[in-house]
Amino acid sequence: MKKNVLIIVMALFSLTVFSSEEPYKEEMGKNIKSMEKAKSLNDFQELSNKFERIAKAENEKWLPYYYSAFCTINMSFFTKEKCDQYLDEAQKMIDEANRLSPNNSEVETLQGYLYLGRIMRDPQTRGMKYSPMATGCFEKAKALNPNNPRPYYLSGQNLLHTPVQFGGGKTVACPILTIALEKYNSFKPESEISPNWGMKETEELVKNCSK
Amino acid sequence: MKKLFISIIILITSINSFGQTKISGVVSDNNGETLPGANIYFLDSYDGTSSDTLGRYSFRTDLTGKQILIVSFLGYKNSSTEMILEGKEINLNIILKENNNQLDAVVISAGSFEAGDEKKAVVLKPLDIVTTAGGLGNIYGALNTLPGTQIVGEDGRIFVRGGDGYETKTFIDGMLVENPYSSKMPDVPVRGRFSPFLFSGTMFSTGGYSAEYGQALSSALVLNTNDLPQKSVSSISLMSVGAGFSHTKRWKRSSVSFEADYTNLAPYFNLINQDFDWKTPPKGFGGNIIARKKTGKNGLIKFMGTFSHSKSELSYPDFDNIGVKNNIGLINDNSYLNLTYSDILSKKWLSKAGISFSYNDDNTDIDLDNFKETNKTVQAKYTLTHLLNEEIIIKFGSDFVNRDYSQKYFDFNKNKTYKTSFNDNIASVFAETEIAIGNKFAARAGSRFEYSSLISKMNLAPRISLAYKTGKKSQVSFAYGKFFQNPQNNFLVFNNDLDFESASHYILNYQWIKNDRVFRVEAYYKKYHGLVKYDSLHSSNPDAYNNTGNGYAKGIDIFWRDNKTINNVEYWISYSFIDTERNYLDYPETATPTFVSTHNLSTVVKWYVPILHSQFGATYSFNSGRTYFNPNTMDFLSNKTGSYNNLSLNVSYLTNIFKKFTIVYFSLGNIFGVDNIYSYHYNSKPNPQGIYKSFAVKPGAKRFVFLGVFISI
Repeated sequence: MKKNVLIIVMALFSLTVFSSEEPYKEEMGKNIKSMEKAKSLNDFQELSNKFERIAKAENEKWLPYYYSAFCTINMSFFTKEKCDQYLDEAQKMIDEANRLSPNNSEVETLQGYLYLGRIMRDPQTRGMKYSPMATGCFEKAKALNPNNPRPYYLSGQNLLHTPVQFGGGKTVACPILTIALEKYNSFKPESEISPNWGMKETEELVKNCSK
Repeated sequence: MKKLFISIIILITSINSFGQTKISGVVSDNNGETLPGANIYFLDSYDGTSSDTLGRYSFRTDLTGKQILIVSFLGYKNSSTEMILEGKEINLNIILKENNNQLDAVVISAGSFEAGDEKKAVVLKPLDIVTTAGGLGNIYGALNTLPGTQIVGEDGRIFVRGGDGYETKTFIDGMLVENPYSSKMPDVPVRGRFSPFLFSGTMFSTGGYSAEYGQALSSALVLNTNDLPQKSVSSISLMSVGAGFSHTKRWKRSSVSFEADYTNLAPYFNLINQDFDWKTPPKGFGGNIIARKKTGKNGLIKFMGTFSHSKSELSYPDFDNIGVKNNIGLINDNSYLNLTYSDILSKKWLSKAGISFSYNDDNTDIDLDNFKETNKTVQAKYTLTHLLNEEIIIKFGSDFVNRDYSQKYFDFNKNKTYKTSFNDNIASVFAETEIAIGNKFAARAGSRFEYSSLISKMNLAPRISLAYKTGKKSQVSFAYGKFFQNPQNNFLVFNNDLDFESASHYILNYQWIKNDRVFRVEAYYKKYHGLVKYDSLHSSNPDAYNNTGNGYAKGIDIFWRDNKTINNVEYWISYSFIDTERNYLDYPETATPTFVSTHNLSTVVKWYVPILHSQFGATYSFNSGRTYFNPNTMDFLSNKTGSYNNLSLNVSYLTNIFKKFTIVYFSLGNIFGVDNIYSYHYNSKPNPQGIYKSFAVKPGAKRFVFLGVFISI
């Protein structure tokens, strides 16, 4: 009997030790799911907060920082006034993610995404500075992981919004978006909670290309 | 045994249920405003929530014992509260303190227009200087659309708040530029020597500026050069007045670029008839080299070197001999070197060192006489900034300037050369502290001490600025300062028994910024002392130079900018009212100087049309008449010219030529061809009928046309 108890107690213990990854994955997975439904500044704020809490509690994981930054960048698109403040905050989290996982294609892509946010605030004044910076990030992200579809998607989207005179437009952007879609189709995320966004948007853009 | 087992199970489950603690409250700031979206959580756990739209929060946690509750919100300092969780409901209202570095924190705005920090660039954007119609790529032309400045069409320099042109000093990366303007031909306006594309930051102060800057009575223009360029690029420019080529090479941590240009106005003057009688239309060449290098983690070395050579000749009336014209020929050589090194020494110390060298040589032939003026100025400067804590920044530094000036005059009739020169060392130290109390109150107080070896005099200039936030979007600031400047070279060279000229500024500013709209109104009072004076017109007796001149200026400057109301349109309106009088130089009495117009209005509109890939710009300027002296009336400076009106347009069109990105730029100045008269010149002697004859000072042509094509290759 004593033995039995010991086994049970040990089992209980080991379960808790063994499963410390489980609540993390569960919580992350839940938040990533609701991210797909997020539509407003408040939605993204709440999610960014959730990811930030996980990031702070886990301390050494890059993904919660990554997602928190991603949500915060999305927040910046809803407001002109606080746009830069949100992006500054997102930058801090990207820096953390970068520290925890250097030379990560996904983090590099996110950095480029942040620069696109800077451009959105005032394209005429900022395009000249941030556009090459964003392109640089996407190129680096492609080099780090040629299978990552997101840098293709974002650079294609950026080119679509760039005037023809600046080297943008449909004819340049669409082939890149088509590549992005191909890459999405064959893309296997490392884990359930690894970055896996952008496919729907890419499909939409590619549809528009053929119009 | 079974019992024990069951009790263990019970214990484990009971911890779970017994341990649930509900915690709730409201998050607000110290003004009592609730903060929605704040993050509330226990340290090292997932347990937490976000505050709702009313700032309320509520959540349950399984944690027990001593825990730390963290509340964070963008723009505020984190709060942490230690508490014991034992299942009892906890109600805790949290008050967050604002971060001092918030974007909407109070800023010291009295007297200054800034463009540079793109995140705050609402008042002025870096590109504004380039895209303002009528500015024509001339920094000073664009600044003339801001309140507090005067358009003095025949001069070209910037005149600020009743101050003469020499009272504004230009600094590049904090270093003095002795000759920021091209050389002067009579009645032909000068231009800025530096291309606005070299700079990404501009701080234009119309008064009350920091103790870091001295030797300027009225105004400081601080230009900050670009950091490392984004990428390697070459470009060609073809213009109606010349051509240029530039190349930039970027490495990972450094960059070098060079630029060469050639200007010749002859073809343009052949096409568009000029009132000036040019013998040699202005022509010249110039170039610059710019290098950047990052050192260590945060260090940056910046080097800039520019040179230019230009030539022009004009036939110009001789005021002393009626009906006679003189040929005035000017050859100018100019160079400017600027080297700075800035670094972060530790988390709390920033250091910046710099040297600059200005060289200018104007060689002027007036018929058979020759006048040659040369100046060489060397400056060394060092500043240290100490971030004492979040609230207090201390900055101090010293700066040393050596000025070497010489004049040579060759009198053909007497076949004699007169030479004169001076060498002046100006040593300065300054200290300044910036204090921020919360987001609401900021103060900057400092002092500058200067000693000039040539006049063996010293001065102490206190400066103080205060700013207080009166509402979420509005603030009031006040500035006071004393400003000293050595007398101008042409006085110092003949008499070094002079003292500093000085001015005191009092400025009160109200500023309102919301989204992309800015409204500012600024009232000022300025008092001049010790201006250089001499007895009579054309005084040839330098011993009579003295510092008994004085004056005042008071007025109101209003600025409204709106980037929001109309899509793709940005516009601003500046209005200045000024009342100023002074008694200096050869003035027989106190009078409003010739460079002042009482009412000044500028409207700048920029309209971007995406389908046309074009930006259209328009600038309208209105100035009420300026005073001039008609010797036939004998009432000094009692006459006034008509008002000045100018509507200028420009278009920049973005396109591709041979697949290379190209900007086509077209600009038309004074489209309605208004006959603007800047002033009148009178002969120094009356004609036989006893009348002083005059002629009007006007621009070379009524309209100005400019076409340029800029290609990146």
